[in-house]
Amino acid sequence: MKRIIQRATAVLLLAISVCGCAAQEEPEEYRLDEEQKLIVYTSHKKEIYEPIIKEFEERSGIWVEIIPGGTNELLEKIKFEESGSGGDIMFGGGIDSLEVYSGEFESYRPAQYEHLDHTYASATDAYTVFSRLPAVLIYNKKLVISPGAPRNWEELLNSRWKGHIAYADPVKSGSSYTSLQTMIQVLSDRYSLEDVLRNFSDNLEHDIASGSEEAIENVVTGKKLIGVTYEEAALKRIAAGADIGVIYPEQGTTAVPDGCAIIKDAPHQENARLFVEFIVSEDVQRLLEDQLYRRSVRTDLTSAEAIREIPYDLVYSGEHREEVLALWEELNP
Amino acid sequence: MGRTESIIRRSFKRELFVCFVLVAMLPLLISDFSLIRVFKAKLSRDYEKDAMEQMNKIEEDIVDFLDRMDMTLESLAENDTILTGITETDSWLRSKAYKQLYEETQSYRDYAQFNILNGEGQCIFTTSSANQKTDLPPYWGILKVAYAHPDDMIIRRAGDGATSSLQLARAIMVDEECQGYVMAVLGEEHFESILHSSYDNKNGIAILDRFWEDVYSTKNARDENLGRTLRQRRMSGEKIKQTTDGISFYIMPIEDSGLYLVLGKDAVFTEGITQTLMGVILSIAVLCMLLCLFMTTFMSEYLTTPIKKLAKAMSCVQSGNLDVHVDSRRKDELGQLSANFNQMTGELKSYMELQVRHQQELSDSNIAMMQAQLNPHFLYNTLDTMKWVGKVNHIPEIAVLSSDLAKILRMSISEEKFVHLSEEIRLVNYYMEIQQIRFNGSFSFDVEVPMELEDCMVPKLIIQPIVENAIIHGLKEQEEGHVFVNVYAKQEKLYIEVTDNGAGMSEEMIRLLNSRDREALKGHIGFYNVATILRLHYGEEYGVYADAGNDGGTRVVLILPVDLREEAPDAEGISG
Repeated sequence: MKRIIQRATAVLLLAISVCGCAAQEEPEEYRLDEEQKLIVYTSHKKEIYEPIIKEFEERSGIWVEIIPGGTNELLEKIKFEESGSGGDIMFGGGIDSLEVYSGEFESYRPAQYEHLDHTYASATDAYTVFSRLPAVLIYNKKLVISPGAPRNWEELLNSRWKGHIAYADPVKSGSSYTSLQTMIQVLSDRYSLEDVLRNFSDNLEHDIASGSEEAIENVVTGKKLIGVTYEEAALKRIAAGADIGVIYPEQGTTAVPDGCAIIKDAPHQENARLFVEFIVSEDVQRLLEDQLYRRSVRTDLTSAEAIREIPYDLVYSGEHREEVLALWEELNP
Repeated sequence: MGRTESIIRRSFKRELFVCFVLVAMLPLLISDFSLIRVFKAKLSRDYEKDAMEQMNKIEEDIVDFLDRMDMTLESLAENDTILTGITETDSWLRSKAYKQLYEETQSYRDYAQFNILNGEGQCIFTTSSANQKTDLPPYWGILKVAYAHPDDMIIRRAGDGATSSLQLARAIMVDEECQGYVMAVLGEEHFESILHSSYDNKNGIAILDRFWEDVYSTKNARDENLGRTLRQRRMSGEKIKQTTDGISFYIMPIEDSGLYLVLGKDAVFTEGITQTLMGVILSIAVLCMLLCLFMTTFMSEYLTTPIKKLAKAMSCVQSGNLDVHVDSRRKDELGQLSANFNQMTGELKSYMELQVRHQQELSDSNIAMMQAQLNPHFLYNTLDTMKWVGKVNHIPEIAVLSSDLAKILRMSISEEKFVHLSEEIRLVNYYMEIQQIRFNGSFSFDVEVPMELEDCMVPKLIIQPIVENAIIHGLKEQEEGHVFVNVYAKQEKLYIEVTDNGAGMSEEMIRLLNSRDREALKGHIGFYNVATILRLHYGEEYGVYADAGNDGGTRVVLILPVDLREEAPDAEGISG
């Protein structure tokens, strides 16, 4: 009996499998080779990465998978991912952040290195600079007449602007921290670090925006008279019709670039290199200036308006980050 | 498995049920499943064919449209009026160029927006009703490619997240120098017009670019997020078509445009249809099961009823009732079995009756035999009378003869089979008395029995035949004949020696006597009988042996166990 049942089951299975063969799966014709792929981690905004990556696809024929996210989030992801299992390239993020994680990156020097600004170049070629983002002051053109607008960093500590300054929380916003550090570094000959923070905090009256977007918005809507932000954000709003003015401080400002880095043991190493070459190419760099309100890192491209630039002390900024932010949080609970 | 099997095995009905279920359900299930597979395959083939037809039509329309656009863009690019308009600042010439543009594109303005860009990518003329001028960087994207391939119309997707469109561009080349670009932009509303005739809004349609990004999709395709899903699958190396998809879609490249056409249709085999089919199959299976159950009950009744009847009848036969009869009107094997049973009991009955009759006859003969036993008593009485007649008439020989004969007769007809040795010896003495009278005292006779052996039990009438042999054969024509019976015990065995001093026997005769061959001992029946009696009673090691005596004559020795019991041993032994 047992054997009969077993045989019957076998016959049934055979019959089903025979029937199954009749309805086979069609062969997969749209298969992508690994050489055709690139996985990009990016902390850029969509309007930055989309045209660039799309153009890269069109020109190279490589299919790019985009994984967007915050700079720190992505860098942590890279650090804890098993090497070779995740993305190929980190596109975006200030070079100060990239420098911290330089151990996670493959060193690569693009062929066009000669044409690039070497001010903030990585000592180990862990990253390649992509675009410069000068810190600037902005003012509402309707509420502040041009001659009365602040001219330098010092004015931010002036009680004249008390309660009228839009500023994003440096704990949350990377660009805000950069501008705070710029202020500290510029004013270091006259003010101590603590004085800068204390006076500035007083002037803000603890009314701090949660992000760069909100800070600009406050100036655009007239809620605040002046603000501290970075050039790209301001120019974008002006292009969109906002009636605000941009001030490049007299003492000069810092233009800390963001960068791009190939992740160690990237599965698509070759394509990642092509991508690095592409983003520092003339076309992309020109597009940055023409359409994306950013400053090129290429020395052979003449910027629309030269600005007075001062070097940003990356080492100091990195070493004092904890201290500055702790003090900031203490002053602005 | 083993337990189930034993449960099934325990009842004929269950065995039958399992067999029925196997026979009924197996082909049913197999045919059902193969039917569904075939049905599914056929349906999806038809479905695919249908989809393919529609797709071919759409593709044809698009290809045809692109061809015409190619021609239009080419003629625009070669139009001198427009070319002068690009660089001209004079407003009259510009409006002339504008007019030319409108005229040239008249029949296509429902299907596309036309832009004329100068060499720097600035938009000079546009047919856009909103008069949106879109500048494009000439070192970037479509213009760069158009510049690089001035003889071709370049097709590119343009999009900014929410909306996407298709751009067609061609460089205006004059003497190897790029004077500008003619462009056509196909937005959502334009695609709707293009596909108006061939699109059936039951299905979702998406047009994807080289990298499977949405160029255009109908509302239902957009709702399904068709383009994005497909790109993601292709990127991650998953299967493009997955069984879990609610819709089935078909992909086809649109000639050499680098675009792909995707058509999404509601899946052929929706969950509902599958469920309905399964429901039908299930109900048929249930019906089959019920039928099996019914047939099982019926068949098992049909088969087991006559068997039960037979079993009952057999138990009646076992308890001795041979009058049972199994009724069956069936003609099949079970009917035959019943008939055979009936025949068997009939024959058994007649055999039994025969046996009883035989037994009766046997009893009758026994009674006759018992009746025949009356006669010896009469003989005995007669002999007794003769003894008295002899005494009265002073003829002592007659008295002795009749008295001895009577005693011998009494002993021989007695029921007992074993007697004391002393009685046996006494019988031999009686016999010798008769013989001495008969042969006129021509021989002497001695017996020597130790006292302690006199109570030994021996089969009766075993010594007399041997002594008779000695007198008849040994002392024939002998003057001083002597017969000596000597009894002694040795090693738990009783030896009875009968010796005579007669003529003796030839060697051959002695060998013959010891051979136990019945045929050879014909004529020596007494000797043979005694030997047989001893062997049957006591076993092979006992019996009768003959040899020549010490001083001529013959010696015969009977060997039997010393048996001092009071009672006689089991009488059965000698019945044969």
